[in-house]
Amino acid sequence: MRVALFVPCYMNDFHPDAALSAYEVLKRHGCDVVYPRNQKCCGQPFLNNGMHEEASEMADIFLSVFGDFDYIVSPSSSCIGAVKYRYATLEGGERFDSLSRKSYELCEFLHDIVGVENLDFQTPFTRKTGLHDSCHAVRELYLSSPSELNIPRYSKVEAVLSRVPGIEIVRPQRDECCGFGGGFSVMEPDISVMMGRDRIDDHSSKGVEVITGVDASCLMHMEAIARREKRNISFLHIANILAGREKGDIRL
Amino acid sequence: MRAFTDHPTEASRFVSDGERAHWHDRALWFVRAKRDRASETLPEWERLREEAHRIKSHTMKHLAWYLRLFEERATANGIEVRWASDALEHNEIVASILREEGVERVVKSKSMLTEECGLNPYLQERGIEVVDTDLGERIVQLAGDTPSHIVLPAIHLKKEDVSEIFAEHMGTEEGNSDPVYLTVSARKSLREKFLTADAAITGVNFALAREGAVTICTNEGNADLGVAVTKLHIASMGIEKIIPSAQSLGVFTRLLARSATGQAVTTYTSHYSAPEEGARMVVVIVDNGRSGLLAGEESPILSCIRCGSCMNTCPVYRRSGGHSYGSVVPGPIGTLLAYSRDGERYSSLPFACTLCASCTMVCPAKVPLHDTIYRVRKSAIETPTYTGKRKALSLIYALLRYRPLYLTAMTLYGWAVKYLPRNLLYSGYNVWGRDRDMPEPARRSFSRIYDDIERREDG
Amino acid sequence: MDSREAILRALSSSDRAPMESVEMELDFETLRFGENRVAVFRQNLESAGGEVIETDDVTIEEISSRFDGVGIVVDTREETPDIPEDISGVSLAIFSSPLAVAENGAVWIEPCGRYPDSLLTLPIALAVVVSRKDIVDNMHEAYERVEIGKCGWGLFLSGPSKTADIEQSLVIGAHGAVEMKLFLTE
Repeated sequence: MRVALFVPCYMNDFHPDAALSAYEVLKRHGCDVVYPRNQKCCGQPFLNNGMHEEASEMADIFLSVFGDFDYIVSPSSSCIGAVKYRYATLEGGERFDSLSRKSYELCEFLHDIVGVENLDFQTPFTRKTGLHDSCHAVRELYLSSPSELNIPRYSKVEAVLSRVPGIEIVRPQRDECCGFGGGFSVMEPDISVMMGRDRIDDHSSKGVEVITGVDASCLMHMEAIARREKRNISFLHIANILAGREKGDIRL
Repeated sequence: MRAFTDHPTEASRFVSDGERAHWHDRALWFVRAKRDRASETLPEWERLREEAHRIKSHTMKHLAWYLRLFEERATANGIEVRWASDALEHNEIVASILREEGVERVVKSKSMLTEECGLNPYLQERGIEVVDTDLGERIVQLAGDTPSHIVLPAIHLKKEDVSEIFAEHMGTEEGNSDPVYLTVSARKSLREKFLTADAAITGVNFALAREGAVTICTNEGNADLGVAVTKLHIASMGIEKIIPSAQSLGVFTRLLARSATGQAVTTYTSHYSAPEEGARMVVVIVDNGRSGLLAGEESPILSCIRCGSCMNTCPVYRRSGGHSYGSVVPGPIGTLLAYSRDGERYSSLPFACTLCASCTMVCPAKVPLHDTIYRVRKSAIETPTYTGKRKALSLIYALLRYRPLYLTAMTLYGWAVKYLPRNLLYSGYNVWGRDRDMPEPARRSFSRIYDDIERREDG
Repeated sequence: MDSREAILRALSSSDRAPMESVEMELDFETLRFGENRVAVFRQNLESAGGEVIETDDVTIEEISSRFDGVGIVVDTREETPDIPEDISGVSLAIFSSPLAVAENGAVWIEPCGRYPDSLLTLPIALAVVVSRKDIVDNMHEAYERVEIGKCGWGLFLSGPSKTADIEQSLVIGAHGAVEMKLFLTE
């Protein structure tokens, strides 16, 4: 399986450890992984802010970089969501349909393509872990059942994560947005911070030591609040837990 | 009343009282949770939502035809049907009918449409007393305030607030904030208003085309009481309230109350097809901008059945309150209604949203709320308010498009975070930095690390 | 051009008769209660603040005796009910209903001009008599059985009036009836 790794711009610079973990996890599960150098931003900030011309340009670049691979996998649910569902809203968006079919968030790929029974995670993770369900992951990619719908409960993310030896996964009380929302975080800073703080409080109330999730932007936003408030809780991208890598550790 | 500025400013004000904001958030989440439990009692819930969507979409495709049918059947039943192009005309029609009948006192049950048209002040200026009889609406009316939620108008008020309002305007015991006491007091006071009223004005939840009837849903029975004790019933409805027939009500009555408050059905589900003997009934059909929505990308919003569940589930609404939207209907659906009406004034509303999509998931009529908010941002970003934001995004675009620029910016950022004195880094301009630390870039980017990986693999 | 014309013209793209019937065939399974129907009905009406009394003795005396402090009683089941001039003085009004709905505890009541509408809205207490054979499972079935438009006003009533408008505290008895008892006969 020829897999192209798509690393969101901010993960490249702020969470290279998680990107590296994603790379390693894919390799370990038999993928021929390539990181196309010429990749750029998926265009999500422009899509979400109504700047469709700019978004179109980024989408075309994305298509030219990733179009020939069998699979496109990313440790970011919101970016993959943009590729799968928002590219179609651009003028002439049908040209991106082929991308939709082969784009996967990391856990989604491990669950759907590799198969849960074939997952092999070596490093135990015994810290009490709070799983943050990112909105794009839940209500756009349906990686887990939206709490609003009356459908059987499932979670691909939890199915994958629970294959990590010794892990204790705790769900927060509410399935609720962390408040990042891209531009929202600075357009509506007070609501944004209150939402992020409430998420942290929710996890804290369950005695969680580490909060994880499939979207680095959610984690980054919550962590920025936690650090300012000197909260005794840490944040680790799910790829790192799967790869058995500590935060910030970029050793090969 | 303070003039509306924009959502962020109003929201900041609301959130500054942290305790109250949390209280409000918890109160509305509780209503969302009740909806969840109610939806779980029906295994066919998702199928019903699909049906509601289908029925509404079908109706919109044949809206004019159904409106004609409604008018024909209602008229044959003895109901007068009038048409109003806009809010002012609606008010003029209502006022003229009231004048014809020599009405001086009106009791009004909940109608978002009459709020939208500004009917109360219009009638009051013409010497007609209008008493809002829904308890929540009466509370805000007495307080000189406006509703902050379409189903729970006084959700932003604590019982102590209500106690103060009633003590001042109704002479209730000062300091007695027992909800039962306050409700009983309101019942007594409003009973008097009902019995001395000359006319009843109501809204319409669903207008039945085939039967020529209107359906009104309440828990308090205030709509029915008002209609029963007066000889003039004026029912105001937006053109989108039409559904084909009573058979469709099976779907809508099973969804409405469960979505709104978690109840299986409203206490009173009332169907009016003719006035009582000796009485007069008029239905006023109002456009006020709705016809313009039919053809555009905002047309799905016409399917809204005004249940309020999108508000209850919206994490932003819960923490900012209905008044921060500056519009009669707040929350996700309110954002779209207001923005479609006045894009300039309400340009901040489409951005008062994280696109979390919870609203779309709960909407009983499957209105694609967050998707439509996403779509209208295309025009919202072009409004003058967002010139600055657009410029900032253009700058970000340049950075993301052109690698050398990006690398320079990232290096500068890295230096700033590491070496700038804290008070400079976190100066007032740094909106992110007010309550959050700046994320620090890693020593090496993944691109650099990948260089090593490739080197290693090449051997 | 008057507003009616203007509005219909603005909507002209939708001014055509539907080719397809929108009425659904209910091609999905709806919630059904079978033998449990009465119990479910009782549970739902009671959680809405009503009371269900299973009895075949539904004389005006028996019904009145179930309410405390009853003053003037009007029994609309009578051929020509004795209705006072001032209906706000009536403390208990009795109705019969041809239809009840299990999923939400509602009963269908239609004055049809036999008595003033306000008899359903003004009295402090309401009594409704319905046969257990007339309970249906859900609102789809209910709407198939009622005929909207036959009488000028028809109402699904599910309990006494209520409100939670003051800090979400549920208070039974807003503007309409404060008490509602349902007499379930064979």
